[in-house]
Amino acid sequence: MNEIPKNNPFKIPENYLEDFKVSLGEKKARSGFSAPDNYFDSFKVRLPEKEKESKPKVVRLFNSYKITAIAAAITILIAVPILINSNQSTVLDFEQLSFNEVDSYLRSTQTSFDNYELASNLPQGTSELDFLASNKSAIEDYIDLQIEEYSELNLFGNDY
Amino acid sequence: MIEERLLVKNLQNESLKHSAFEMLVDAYKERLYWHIRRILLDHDDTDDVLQNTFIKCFENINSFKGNSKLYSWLYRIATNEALSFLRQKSRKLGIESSDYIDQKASQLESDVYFEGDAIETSLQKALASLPEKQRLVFNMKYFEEMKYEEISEILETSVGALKASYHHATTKIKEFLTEH
Repeated sequence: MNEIPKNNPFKIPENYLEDFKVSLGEKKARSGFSAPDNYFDSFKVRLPEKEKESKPKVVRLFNSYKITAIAAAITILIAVPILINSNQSTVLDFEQLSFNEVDSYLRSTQTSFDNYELASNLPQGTSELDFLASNKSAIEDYIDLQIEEYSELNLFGNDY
Repeated sequence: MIEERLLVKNLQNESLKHSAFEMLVDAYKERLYWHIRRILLDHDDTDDVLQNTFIKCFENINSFKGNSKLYSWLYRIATNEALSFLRQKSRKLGIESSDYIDQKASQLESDVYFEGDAIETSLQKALASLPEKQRLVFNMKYFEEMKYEEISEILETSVGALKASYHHATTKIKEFLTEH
């Protein structure tokens, strides 16, 4: 081995090392896409305004949990009666009205009906006697009540 | 360039956040642009998504825990933003996202920001015919010359699966170029 000369037998072209450049930019495969001139130099990220400004810290009077709880309670208070009523018939029957309701309505409106108007509101084919018979107990109750009221006012007494 | 760990630290510091963010944008805008552009093909779409990518990064930098490299995290945001942009845009047009990309690829010759020759144009059309994942992997491996390990971190896919995707992609591209 010692007899083999150690001189480098290889030669390089003239000015090879002076001209040597690593062409990193050209190594990657071209895709053919291009960008507008100065696109990268002028590229700026348009952050939303809320990110740009340092806003003063907002202290909440109510936290979101409380607001949610209050909103839920109000919703229940409103929704439950509506739901209950929606299950009931929305068409009012005359039978559903209490005697006192009818009485107070008639008193408040001071309506006076003549015989003809009363008769016209009776169901067809109902005679006056039938009507009185079917409402006998209601009429008796009404008269009793009126008597009590008048008694309280001492209208039947002799004190005045 | 500023060291990545220091950059992240500054980004997560309220008083240094804006200046650090400018450095981040300068460092990554070009690389992310080309990454997104190869997915979307169109310059204007890419500009929109690049903006969204950096905004998302700015808004979520505090959630970056350093489990991956910052550039992997950025590439992941960019990829997700580009793919969701693609889906939104195609949904608005009532077509599949693959059809949207096909349309964009067929319009490349008339695109003022595409200077590719016949082979490069054909390659883009071939790429447009690939499934989404294979197209992503091919772009990142062939054009961006990323290592499988880097792609794996970005796409959260195993190296083995990436190698398979790349193999399928190159086979299909060869077939496409032979037929067209």
